[in-house]
Amino acid sequence: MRAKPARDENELIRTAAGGDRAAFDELLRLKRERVVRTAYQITGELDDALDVAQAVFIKVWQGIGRFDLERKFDTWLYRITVNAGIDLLRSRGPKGVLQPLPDDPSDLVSATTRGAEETLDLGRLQQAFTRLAGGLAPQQRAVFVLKEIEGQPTAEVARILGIAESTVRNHLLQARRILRAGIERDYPELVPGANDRTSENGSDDVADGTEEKS
Amino acid sequence: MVTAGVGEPAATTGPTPPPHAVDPAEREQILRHVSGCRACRDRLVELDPGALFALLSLRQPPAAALDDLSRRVSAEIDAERRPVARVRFAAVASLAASVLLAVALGVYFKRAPVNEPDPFRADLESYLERLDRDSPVPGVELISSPGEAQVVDFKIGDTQVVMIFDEALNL
Repeated sequence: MRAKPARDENELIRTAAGGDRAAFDELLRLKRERVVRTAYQITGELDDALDVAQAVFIKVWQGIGRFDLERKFDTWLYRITVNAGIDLLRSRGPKGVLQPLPDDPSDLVSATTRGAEETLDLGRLQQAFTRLAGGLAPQQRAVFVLKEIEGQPTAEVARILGIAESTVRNHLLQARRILRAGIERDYPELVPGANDRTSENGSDDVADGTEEKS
Repeated sequence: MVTAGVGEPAATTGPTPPPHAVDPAEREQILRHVSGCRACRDRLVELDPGALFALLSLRQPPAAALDDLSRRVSAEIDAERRPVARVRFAAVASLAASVLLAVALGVYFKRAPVNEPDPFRADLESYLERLDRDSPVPGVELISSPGEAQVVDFKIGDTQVVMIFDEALNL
């Protein structure tokens, strides 16, 4: 017997918009991982990320009936997620430049990769990011997460955050500079030889000038 | 090597992506390779150490946490639906009760209008108050029968009333 093919995402969105709970549940299953991961990278804690994700999907359920089906669903979903994450960050108030290391560095699970010796310790990299990203302004952090970690195009990041693309580029420039300095200073084992090479280049911003050309 | 985000993915909608763009699946493939390849990683670090953080997209929330999230969302939606149903039922019930009460009162007042004067009743009360067999009132005629019977004959409005008082009378 043939397995029933998964419903097309647009069809799911349309059906869920009509109040179909099963379609919404399927949409939730489809999107939950990215929502939680994005919220986690913005908030730095899994419990907070799950709370944010819960609020996000409740908002989606409440608002999907009014969602303009001509628009891109993911833009809306990311916008709700990022805004909820930023709100949570701001509600915490200033915690200083550096956050303490998370109690449980294995909040997220690293995907299995080949070659154990050669494989980067993603748990350690996560610790570094969570700590160093505490030094970023909430919107800078959101831009970095969407652009660098989630791989969203600059124009899409601008749409999600409701800001100009030039502002996205500016936030990204600042965030990269702060994170680069932090990882080279505090986590040299993750970037062996980076200091030498950077000083050889004589530039603090090797990649920034190439970003929009690429 | 594209330094910006280790391969900017192609947009799924909107303007045509630039020629270098990779789709999300290709991006993930590249990142998995970089994660496990020391040479590529060193090259990436050489260009931009911060670009290493793109590898964090390979990390996933635990499956149990995601299932728990689904349960929490479902429970909250269900919980939000129930009070709405209860409120709706209560609203309908109270509306029905109000209508029923209004109809009942309407029927009652229509059948027994309290403000409408009843001339017969008013006249009767007035006469009965003033009735005194020892001092006949105008319009009331007392007729003494040979026996013990007494007849009171009076008129209220257009109605003629005859009252017979006789202990021996057996109807």
